[in-house]
Amino acid sequence: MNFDHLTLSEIPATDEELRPAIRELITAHIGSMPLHKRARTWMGGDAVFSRAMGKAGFLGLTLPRKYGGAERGPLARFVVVEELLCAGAPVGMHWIADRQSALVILKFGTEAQREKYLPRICRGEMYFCIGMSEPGSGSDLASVRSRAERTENGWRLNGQKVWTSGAHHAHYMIALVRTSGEPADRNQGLSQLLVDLKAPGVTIRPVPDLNGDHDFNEVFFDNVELPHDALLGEEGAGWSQVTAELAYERSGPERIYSSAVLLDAWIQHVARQPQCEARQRLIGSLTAQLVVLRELSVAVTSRLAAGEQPVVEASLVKDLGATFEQSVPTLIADDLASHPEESVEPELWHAIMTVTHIAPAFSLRGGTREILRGIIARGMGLR
Amino acid sequence: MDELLGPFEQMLASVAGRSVDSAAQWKAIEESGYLDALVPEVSGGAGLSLSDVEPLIRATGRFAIAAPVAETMARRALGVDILERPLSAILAVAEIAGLAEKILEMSLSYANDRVQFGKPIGKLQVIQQQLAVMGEQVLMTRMASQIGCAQGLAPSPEVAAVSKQVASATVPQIASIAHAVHGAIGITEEFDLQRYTRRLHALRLAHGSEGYWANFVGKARLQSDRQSSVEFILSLRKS
Repeated sequence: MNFDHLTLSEIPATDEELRPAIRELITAHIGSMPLHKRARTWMGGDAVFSRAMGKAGFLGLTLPRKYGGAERGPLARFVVVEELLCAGAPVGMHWIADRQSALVILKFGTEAQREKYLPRICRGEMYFCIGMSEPGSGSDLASVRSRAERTENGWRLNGQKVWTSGAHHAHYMIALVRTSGEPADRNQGLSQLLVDLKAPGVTIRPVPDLNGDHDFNEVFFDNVELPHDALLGEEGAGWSQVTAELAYERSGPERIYSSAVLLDAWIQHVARQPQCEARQRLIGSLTAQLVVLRELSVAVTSRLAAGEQPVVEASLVKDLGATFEQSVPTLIADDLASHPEESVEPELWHAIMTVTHIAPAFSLRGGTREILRGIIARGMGLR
Repeated sequence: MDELLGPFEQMLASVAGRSVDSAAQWKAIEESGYLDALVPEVSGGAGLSLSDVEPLIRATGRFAIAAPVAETMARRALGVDILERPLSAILAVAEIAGLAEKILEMSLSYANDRVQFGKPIGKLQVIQQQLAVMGEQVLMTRMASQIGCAQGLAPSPEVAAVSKQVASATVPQIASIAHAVHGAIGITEEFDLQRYTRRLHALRLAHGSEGYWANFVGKARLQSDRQSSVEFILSLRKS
């Protein structure tokens, strides 16, 4: 791995110009949203907001115009997403579809599939979820056991997915399933299927998280009949397609900004208190880290914009970002509890505890810390 | 850039090392003409920007050159005897980034060669995970260096502060992982690692440590009317 590929990159002025309009849209919609909701950043969703984003042309920013996209580069999406995340806008409904499903369909789908899904994704009307993890298949993704068999009319799917964020809102899942061979064949014989979650035989059950939020689901497939065109891309090429999908999943600014709403709310609180050098240092060190992480995230996005698949680079930045995001609630909570004489708004405490509880997810979702570090080690030439 | 860096590295390689005569080293560096890299062309220099020169400063780090190469380049370009602290800090960051690269390279190569339990220790997950963390910290210093050097010879103090805060903060972790991976040989006088880690520790503290600059950034942010992180970040870039 050569770090020379990741250099300070400029966001084009034409992409920067998107900021005022997206800020206006955000302000108009989040108005009275409480802090603890905004602090969930991309985990909270609102279909009204997603459709408003679609109408304003902020979804599918990198997709071709003929499918309803804006035909811009990944850096345009970076600008918009950065504004959304720092404001804590409710992006959860369209998040997966806009970040990765649409790109996978564009890259591997047939013309008919593109025409069927992409315009609706761009309008903020069609939502997707990720069908990777299974009960026996977490970090060891190649061990998936869900299986689809060819039938006269298409495919018959049996199996189970778990930790499926937003399945209860989503219209479709892009599922990684076995279409030939045995689990012992590992990454051979896997394919991606577009699963209509309304199809008979699909059961979605909530898995409430420790905050009592409903984000996770388990999804069961019991003899689900799918048409021929449920196959996405090439039969048996699921592993390489899923690798491409993970590069989109790991590289974005959401990997550094998950605690940004909380950080900013705490800084506003500190700004109202008497000057304190220890606090200034903490604010300074968190801010400085965020500035550098942000430029690294822009640099990874620039590699994507150049048509590369920066798998190792994205892993480096995601692991750094997750570590930063997880440190924020811990450090802020200690700071506030070190000033018991201060009056702290209950909303801020609520948000801190919400983020503290869910923060372990930051280094689980999209590839665990341990898996990412293995990718980095190999990428750096450890044999 | 390679036609600039290649000959410079060759020159440094010829005068680097522990037994080098410092007067002879400086003479070679002086005669190479590189000390005028930042001097405007109209004044007989190469007229390069600090970003252009950043890879050269990193190279001085990779070769653990203790002579004030970057500082002399900057002093000649500005026509001053003493540099302002923000610029000095950024020059130190670029050198830290070079040292960090070299230390990572040494650690990776040692992990691939050193055999314990019948295999190279680089095959052990516990070592791989530590080296991955080190790689991440090296990447942070590299980006911190680029961010700082992009400001040129009259940097914004806030940007210099961000750059040096982050680079200095990476130093203890980079040095400690490098030494952990190398084992006892790494803390001997004989083995080369110490030439790089000792200089790394010194540069962490030079021109303000991570705590000094964290305080600077924090004060700037609290005094700024930019409410959100993204607004603050964008305001830095424009300055």
